[in-house]
This record gives sequence, C-alpha cells and structure tokens, in this order.
Amino acid sequence: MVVTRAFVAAGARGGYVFASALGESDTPRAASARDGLTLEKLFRDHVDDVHRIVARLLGPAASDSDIDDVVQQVFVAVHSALPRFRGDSKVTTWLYGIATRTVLGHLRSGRRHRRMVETLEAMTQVLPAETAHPEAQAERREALQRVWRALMQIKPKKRVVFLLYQVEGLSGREIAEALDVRPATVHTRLYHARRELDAALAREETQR
Amino acid sequence: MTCPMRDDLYRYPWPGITDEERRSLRQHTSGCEVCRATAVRLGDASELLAADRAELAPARRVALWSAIEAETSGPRWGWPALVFGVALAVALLVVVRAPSEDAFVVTGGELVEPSRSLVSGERRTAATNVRIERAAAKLQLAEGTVFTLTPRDFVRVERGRLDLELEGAEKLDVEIPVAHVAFLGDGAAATVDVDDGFARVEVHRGHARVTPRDGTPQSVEAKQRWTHPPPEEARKRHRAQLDRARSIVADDAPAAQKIAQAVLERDADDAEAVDALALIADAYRRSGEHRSAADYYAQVAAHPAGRGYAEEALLRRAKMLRADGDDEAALAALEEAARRFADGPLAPERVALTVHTLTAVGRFDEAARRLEGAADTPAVRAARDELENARRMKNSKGSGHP
Repeated sequence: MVVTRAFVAAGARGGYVFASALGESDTPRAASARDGLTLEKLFRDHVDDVHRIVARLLGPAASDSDIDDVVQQVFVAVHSALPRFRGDSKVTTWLYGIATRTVLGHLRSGRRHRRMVETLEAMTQVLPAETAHPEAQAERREALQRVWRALMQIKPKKRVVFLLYQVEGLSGREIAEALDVRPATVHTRLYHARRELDAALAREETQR
Repeated sequence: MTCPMRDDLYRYPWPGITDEERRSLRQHTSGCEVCRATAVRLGDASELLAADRAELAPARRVALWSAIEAETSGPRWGWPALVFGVALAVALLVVVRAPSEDAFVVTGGELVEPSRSLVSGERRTAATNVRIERAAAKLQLAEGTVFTLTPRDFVRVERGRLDLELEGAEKLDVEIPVAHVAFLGDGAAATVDVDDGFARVEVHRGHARVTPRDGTPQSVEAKQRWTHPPPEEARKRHRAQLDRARSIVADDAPAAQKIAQAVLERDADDAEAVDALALIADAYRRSGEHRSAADYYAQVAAHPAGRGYAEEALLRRAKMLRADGDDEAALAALEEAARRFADGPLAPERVALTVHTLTAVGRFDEAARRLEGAADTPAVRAARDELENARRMKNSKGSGHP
C-alpha cells in the first residue's frame, strides 16, 4: 500500500508544502471479482496489511498478543461477513473497515485504554532500530514516543481517522466507506484530530 | 501566538476546495510562522508514524491462521469425527507431556518448556525454537528440529520439508519453505505454511490426514494413539460433567452413564476416573443391569484412587451380584470387604448382608457365627431375625408341622 501523507517535506525544514495526491479525487474501484474470494485467500493476500493497520491503530503500547487477538477477531468477522460482501467497495476498503471497527471496539474498554497509556508512559523503546547512529535512534524513539503520547490524548474515533488518512493514505471517501459514516463526518473528525494533535504536540515541545 | 488561517490548515482539503484556495493556503503557510510550525509538527508526526511499521513474523502468521481456521472451520473436511476432534483439541488438549521419557525426544533443535502450557492470549513470539500454545494447541518447531512422539513416530522439520512418519504408515512429505510447523496430539490439527497456501495435517485417533496445497487429502492410519494430561480447563469441565451426571442419574440413568463414560474415555485423572466409574455403576444399577453394575463397582473398588469408595463399592457389588442370582460371587465380594475393611464404617451392613446371603444359601451355622460380636444395629437385627425365621422354617418342615 502506498503511504500518502497530507503534509510532506519538500526540501529543507520550513519549506513544507501540501501534497497534491490527497486522494479526494480517488475513485474507489469496485471489487470486480467477489467470486473466488475465500477466507484463506483474503488472509494470505491481506494479513500483512490488516496486521499493520491494527498495530498502527492500537499504537506501540499494544502487545503482540493484543495485536494478534484483534487480527484474529478481524478475520473471524471477515469470515462471517464474506457472504454479504457485494463488491461495492474495494476489498481493502472493506477489510480496513472491519479492522477499524474491531480496533475501535477493542479500544472502547476504558481500562484497556488506560493500560495502553500507562504502558506507553513506561516504554523506553517504541521504535525499532532503523538508523545506525545511537543518538539518532534515541532521538527518533523519543520523537515517536512524544507523537504517541499526544495521539493517545485524542479520542479513538478521531485518532483512527487521522491515522487512516495521514499515515495509511486512505482517501476521505474510503475512510467514510470503511467506517460507514458520511464523508463530512470524516472531515470533521480529521479537522479535530489535527487540531488536538497539534496542540498536544506543541505542549510536548514546550515541556522538553 | 495564533493565526486565523491555521484552522484552514487543519481542515485541508475541505470538500470543494479550489485550486486557487489551495495555492493561497500554500503561499500563506510558507510565509506564516505559526502555520508553518503546525505543518512541520503534523508532517513530522505523520512521517514518524509511517516509518514505524510492525512486521508480522512468519511464525505469528501461521499461528494466526491456525487460530482463525480453528475458530471458523466448519465440517468442510467431511469427517465429522475429525472436526469434533479438532474442537475438542482446542478445548481439551495440552500437547506437551509424553507418556514416557523415551517417547518425547527433541534433537537438532530446542524444545522450550515442554511441560508448560500457555494460556490463551500469552502468545510467545520470542526467538524460541518451539512454541507451545494452548490457544491453538500447537507445537512449533524450528528448522532442523526432530520431534519424536514415540520411539517410532516423529515429526521432523528439516531444510524446508516436513516429514511426518507414523508407525505402521507410509511416510508423508510436505514442502514447507517456512520452517514452522504446528503439530497437535490426538484429535487435533496442524497447519504448515507453504508457498502459496496452507497445508493441513490432522490427527485423530490414530489417523493422520494431510491436505497439501493441491487440495487432495491423503489419509493414513497409524497405530499410535497419544494421550496427554488434560489441562485445568478440562479438569473443570470434567468436574462439571460429572456433577451433571450425578444430578440426573436418578431420573435419566442412561444419559448420566453416557456423560460419565465420555469423561472416562477422555484424559480423566484418577479421581475423575473413580467418580466416573461409580456413576456408571450407579446408572447400571438404576437401569436394572445388575451384572454390569457389579462389574463397575468392582472397578471402583480395585482402582488405586478408589480407596475412599472401595468399601461401599464392594457392598454394592455384592448386592448387585445377589440381585443377579450369584450368591457365591456376592459372598466373595463380601469376604474381600471384610479382609480389606474389617473395622470399616460399613462393617455392620457388611455383616448383615453376609448373614442374609449365607441364610439364603442355607449356611445357617456360618451365618450365626458371623453374627457373634456384631454391633446391634437395625440391619444386623433384621439379619438375625431372618436367620431365625429361616431356621424355624427348616425345622418345622423337618418335623412335619405346618
């Protein structure tokens, strides 16, 4: 899946411009071949995407076990919903919808949410080592931790829209289809998510 | 410091945005300190989040598919008993401990915590060679591992191939580029990850079935049936089933017997086995099948864990044998009870039953001797009365008086 972001770097810091590929003109292609879709095929083709999206929506405080449980729930739900899938939307959109709703259901537990926030607070490593330089690694880890701390202050419904749009690159219409809400609702949630996240990140910056 | 245009930035791209509005916002953002800071913050955050991608390891992929398949599988294998077995496996089995030491060998790899079962939700994804997981009831073996179920049956994972050899069966090979194998005990299934799909190995009561990617099942028969200690969940379920059987045995003896028999045939522990045997015996007794009841009471009495029930079981066996017309066998059971439980709490009942039986077979003097020193209980008094009556009857017949 191509990751599209609303805000992309263009040159040096401070020269940020808006990406043109914001997806509003993307037309979801109707799934052309519903026939032949089996749970096993869907699993083989999309488990990595579903896993990634579930992990991303749950956040770094979720354990592997939490993620696997939700992915399992997603495919069990897919199994139940498969006979009713009409191919009106892309298979991926349909799958992401199920995954997102499952994650939201998972996050609905206040206790679970609190536990995740606490775990995040206690985490010292949230980013896999990608860069060789230890200082750069530490800096990225801290930065990602700050982002997640800020994200966790946003309500899950808004956070999910932000992540789907901003990080996963889904269009507003795809998110609306996936979540079964009106496109205007997606825009409203995205607006609030960005505003709240920006404020939270600004607070994080001042606390540094 | 704020900027009235920042809201537009949060809202971007709003429905119906024109190219002119887009250009204008870009221009403003590049020149406004407040809006540029917001764009940088959100842009950096998005980049960081996008770069942080969790990968799904092959072992977790297989484990996930196994769990999903177990949860969603219907009777598509056309083998109802097998499907039942798979369900049972998920519910019952812990494929961990082998019956004897030499029947559980791992070479060329490492077996981690062979006797420990992990509860659902505690999946292990660390770089261990073997993973034992209750949720999917499986073992996972790393490449190069040989897992011996018995000295003759083993599963070997080597260089991308799974060799499944079962005693008395032909050898089965399944190609597995990813060296992760799920293996289950009796009544269970395994999934192996192959190039473009999943092959499945299922084991049920000595039968192994492999469905490779071409979808054609192969079925072989094996001699070995594995037994495993049941997990705590099974213990609880067994107890609940036995309680249920106990509660219905008076009204529906056949149903109670069926439940108890099912527990007995699974991996019942000693205490459960004794309970089940006693319930089966009671069910037979209530159904009027005296000889079968007597046989099961004998099993209770002989069971190593049945000592607490043995005295009563022997007396019940004697009663059942008498009801079946076999007084000599009844007396033998009573002799065994007297030998094993001379001063047991049921001694008066045993004496009374022995006297009744001896009286019935005409051994009056012996019956009288048994009464000497016996406790004066209603049962013993009744036995004494019966003996005296029997003697009087015999004497009156011998003297010719009515």
